[in-house]
Amino acid sequence: MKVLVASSEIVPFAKTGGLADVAGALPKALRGIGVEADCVLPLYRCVDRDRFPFTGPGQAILVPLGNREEEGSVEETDAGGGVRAFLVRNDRYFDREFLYGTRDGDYVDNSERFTFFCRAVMEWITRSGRRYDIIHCNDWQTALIPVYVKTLYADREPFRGTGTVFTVHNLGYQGLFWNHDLPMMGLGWELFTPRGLEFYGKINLMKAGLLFADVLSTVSDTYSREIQTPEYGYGLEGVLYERREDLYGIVNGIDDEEWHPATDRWIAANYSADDLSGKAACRRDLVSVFGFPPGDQPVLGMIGRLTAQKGFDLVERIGEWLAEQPLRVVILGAGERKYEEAMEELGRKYPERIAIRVAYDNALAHKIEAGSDMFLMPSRYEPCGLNQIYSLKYGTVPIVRETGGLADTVADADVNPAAGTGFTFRRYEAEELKGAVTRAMAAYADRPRWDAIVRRGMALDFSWEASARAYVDLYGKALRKRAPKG
Amino acid sequence: MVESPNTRFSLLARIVEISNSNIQVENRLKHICDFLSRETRADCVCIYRIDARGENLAPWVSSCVEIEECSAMDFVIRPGEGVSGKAARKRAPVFFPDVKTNSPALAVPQELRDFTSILSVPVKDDVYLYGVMNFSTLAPASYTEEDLTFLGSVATEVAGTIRNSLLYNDARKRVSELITLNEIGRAISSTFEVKETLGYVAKTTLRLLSAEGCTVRLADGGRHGALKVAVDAGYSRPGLRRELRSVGKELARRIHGEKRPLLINSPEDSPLHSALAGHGIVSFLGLPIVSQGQSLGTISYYSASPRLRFDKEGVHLIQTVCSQLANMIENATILREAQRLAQENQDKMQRISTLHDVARALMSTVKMERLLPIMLYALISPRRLNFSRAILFLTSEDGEELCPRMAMGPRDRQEARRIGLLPRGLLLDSALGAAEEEIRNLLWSDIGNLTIPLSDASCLVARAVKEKRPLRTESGCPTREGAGDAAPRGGFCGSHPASFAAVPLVAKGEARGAIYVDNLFLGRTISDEDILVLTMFASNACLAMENASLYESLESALDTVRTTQDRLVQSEKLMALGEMAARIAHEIKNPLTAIGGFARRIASPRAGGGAHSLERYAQIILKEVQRLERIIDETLYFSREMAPAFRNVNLNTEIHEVLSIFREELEDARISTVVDLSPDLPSISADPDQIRQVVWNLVSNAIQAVGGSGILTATTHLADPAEGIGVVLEVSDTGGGIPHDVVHNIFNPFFTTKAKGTGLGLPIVHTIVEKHGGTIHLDNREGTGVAFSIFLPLVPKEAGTGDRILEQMRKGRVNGNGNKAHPG
Repeated sequence: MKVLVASSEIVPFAKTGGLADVAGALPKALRGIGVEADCVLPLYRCVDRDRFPFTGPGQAILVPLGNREEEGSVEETDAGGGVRAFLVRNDRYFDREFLYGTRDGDYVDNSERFTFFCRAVMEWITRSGRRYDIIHCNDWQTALIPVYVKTLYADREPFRGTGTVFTVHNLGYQGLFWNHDLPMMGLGWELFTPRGLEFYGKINLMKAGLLFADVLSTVSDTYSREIQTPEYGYGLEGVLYERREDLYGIVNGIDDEEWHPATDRWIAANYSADDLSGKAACRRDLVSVFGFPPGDQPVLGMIGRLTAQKGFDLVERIGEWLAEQPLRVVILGAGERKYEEAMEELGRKYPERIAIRVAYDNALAHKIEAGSDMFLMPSRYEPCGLNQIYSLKYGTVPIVRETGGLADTVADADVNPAAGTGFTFRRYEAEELKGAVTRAMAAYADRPRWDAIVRRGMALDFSWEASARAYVDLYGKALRKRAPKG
Repeated sequence: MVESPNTRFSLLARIVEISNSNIQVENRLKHICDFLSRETRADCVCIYRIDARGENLAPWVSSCVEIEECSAMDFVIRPGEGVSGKAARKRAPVFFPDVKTNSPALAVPQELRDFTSILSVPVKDDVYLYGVMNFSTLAPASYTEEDLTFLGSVATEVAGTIRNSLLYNDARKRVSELITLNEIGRAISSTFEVKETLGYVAKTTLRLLSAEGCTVRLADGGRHGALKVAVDAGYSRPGLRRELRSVGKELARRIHGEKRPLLINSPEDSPLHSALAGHGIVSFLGLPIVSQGQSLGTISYYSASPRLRFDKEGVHLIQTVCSQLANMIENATILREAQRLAQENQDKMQRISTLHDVARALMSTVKMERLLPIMLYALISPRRLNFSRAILFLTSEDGEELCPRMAMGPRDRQEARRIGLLPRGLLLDSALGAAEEEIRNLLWSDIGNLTIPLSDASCLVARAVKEKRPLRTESGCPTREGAGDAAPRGGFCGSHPASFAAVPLVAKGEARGAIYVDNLFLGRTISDEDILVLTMFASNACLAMENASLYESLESALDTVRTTQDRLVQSEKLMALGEMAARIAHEIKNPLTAIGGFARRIASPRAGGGAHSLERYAQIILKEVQRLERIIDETLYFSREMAPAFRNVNLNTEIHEVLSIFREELEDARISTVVDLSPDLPSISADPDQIRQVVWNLVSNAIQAVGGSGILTATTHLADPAEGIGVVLEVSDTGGGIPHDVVHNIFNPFFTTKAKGTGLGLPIVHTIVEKHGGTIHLDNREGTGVAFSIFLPLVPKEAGTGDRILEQMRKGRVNGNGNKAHPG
């Protein structure tokens, strides 16, 4: 089976969120279990060409966009772990500072950029004589690929038996564009119906992927069920419900080499479940990095985009309360200005209790995961979530809201004393969150119990191998759907 | 507001940077608002945009709320209203330092909210006004000249941003429309399926214009000006299409009549605006589809969204589509006409080939009883002439009536359907096949009461026969009026469909009958075409019937000939018998005289006394009696069937026997006989009686041929092995031979050259010889005589076979009644 993972961002080339981690780790894990997997993404300015030199000359391509043809090329490089990465090059579209837009908004030509990317992938496969049994697409940026496989390219030889899998990482971003982009995408108006790509007068690329891919998946079981409801479906719950037979949930694995307390090169001291002494050193290190005075009070860490989705409106509401608890709170991340400012304000007000670092900082993220005692993720919704899994791995007890991947990976230690690995709350309310934090602090006071919770979390298996096997199952389903009947 | 020129400069630099970034225009404006709100300490910086008609101001982005929330606010500020309306009208900044105490005229509450000071700066360039930018503060604020200049520059930069974005979107939209038009053009030119294309065009343009519904109406080709809905697209709100039907029709009629596009956005545009608005339609666009100055139909679009009003651009766009459509419809009409002609030709071909098939089928039999069902089935078969029911009438002997001969057709709809299911080519291509029964079931059993007097002038069938031309009507049977059950012909008249036809069957200028057809279960009327086909069919049918009746009379003539022949054979036999009787009488006269004489002599007393020579007399009597017995045998033969009973026969003996019978005759005629019989001739297997008859006939012939004073030669010898194993008998005479011109007839029955003869002699010889597996050779020397040489095999090896063949032939002819099985 030959698999091509198509994504708008892939670690280690380009990353803005969890999608890049999945798209980077999955091909390697597939190779690890003997599946031939390549990946493809746009060649952004941020791709480190020194670290990833192009192997051989690129494949030149001509990509039809509406009434014109856009030139481009596809470069090849080694992504490590036996995975070949293909980089779709068009400097007009991708040689930019950011992937999707500046911090003030999305690029005005995003529909054209990612239409180009999707169609470039189709043209490149056709021209280079490659064949993939499965094209695994991710989120709206690659959602046109399944559409093309079933429409414009349906009769082209390399795509006759190609199965498509479409994974929803975040339904909140659907790729909505005005209807007049349809001819540019090369699609007929007959697709622009409420049962087709139309979404309240606009083109919805996420919907296109959901409609045209052979098999759909999300990054956790709970999330796959949640998005069939109006509360989480962002208007697509109907489509998702209709396709529920083809919709699966597979929790992401984590990169064991990058995220393992015993081998982590970013943290002050390595440790393991058998010997947690290193974790104390990490805490001391973290406390000093954030400029807190030394002390024994537990550290509560938070990493993530400062948005309402990640629950920062709740955090903002309980900020004062948090500052009064016997805790030290460290926050890493950037996002909406108002939350950044609110957190900075709290930090200024309680410099010994609360600190925020407005940035994406991988090293610091490792330090927080290792040096914190508790990890807070009160997300409004969370398709999968990785940081709670890192926390479990690093013996940092997660306090999460029971939603999406959080619900699938963290069990409440009070509800389930024998198997609990963290603390959870259900309703998206400040009081609920306070309750969960209070219960965590109470447990922390009970050392043996706390240690048991910590060790249980560290013992869980979140390897990519398990996830990769689940994806291979999914690929099989997609291929069976494409196989001629009878 | 802003402290120093340097700060202003850096602020403006940042705004220029934001407004030139490559992100969505709303994001850029929002960012500018947020930025200005922070930097100028305005509590709210808000941009209103002027609507599509260039009148009202609607909120667009604001530093206070998210973009989506702001553009979703559903209030507008009319020109002159509130602070913004005034600024827009004046195209200059308007400042209200305290709206709480001194509010602007026609204040818009959503604009004022709980602000104190509001400054509104128009967003414009040197030509267009794009909207206004409001700086609102909760606390009282004031602005210096520099501030206003600075904010004016900001607003100009914002205007540039908006213009830029409008141009960008416009360009993209143009490209989109261009591609779509191109595709529509391709679709239109790739097919002549008008309805399909209209459907495609309606759906595509509907989406291109983001309209709520689209209807295409086409002018009815026949009646002038009548518009019919050809295609509907869109109308997602249930019931809307129905609601709009009457106003839509009215609008379409106008557009069609005036041949001009109609754009309705306000009551000024059309009095029908209110009718549209009543159904929630805010904008209407309709265009005629004009070709060569003539409107072929109309296309109408409805918008139910207040945000979407059709404009001149839409008119131009759809005009392009309409002219393409007009071409397409024209072409399609021409194509349809061409296709109709082609179809007509094909129909003709079809009819001819059908008639050909039918003619072939009609010629497939000469039996009337088979022909007639074929004829009628050809009339009602859906694959042939495809009428519903057919009746065949024949003119009566006296020429006074039309008598129903046969009628066929389904009796109900179910049966009518079943006919359609009968296999193709059934009945017509071959003789009645497996489904013969099925077809025979379609025959009407009781048709006796359908007889029509030819004098009945009201009956179309009778008239057709009288006038010798096909007649058809669509107005029904004249008998229909006041007919009911009392109608003639068992109620058949008056009960059949209004459309029916009758064609006469004319042969040799004489009407022999007629065919009645109708389409009771087909529901279509009978056309001129049908009559044409029917007439051709009738002449074919006539020919076939004529053939069949000729054949029938031929058959009966042949039967007569056969009977006569049999009778002749019989009478010949009787004649021969009579002749024989005479001869016998003559023959037995002498022996009887002798017997009588000697017997009397024995009985009477001796005159001269002395004993009679009894023994000698008895010898004579016995001999004569034996002779009598033989004569009786001969005679008996003639009354027997000519079946050979094979025994060992010595040919020489038989010749002697016969010659002895003819002895006196020969002597009387002074014919000398030369008899040269081979002494070591083997016996053959033969019927002695028949062999004797052969010899008898030959000798008898020879005697008659010679007439008097000649030589008759009879010889036998062993056959030449080349001829076969057997014996040869030769009888020759000096009778002058047979004339050349008749010699080939001599073995034919009834041929005779004699004044007094049956002509059966030689045929009988021939038959017997053949039965014995022998051959006859004739050596005719005209002027001299004739020699018959007969070869007879030792064993008649094929005699039995010949018998059986004959037997079978006889059985065949008498229809299996033959019972005279022959002993082998």
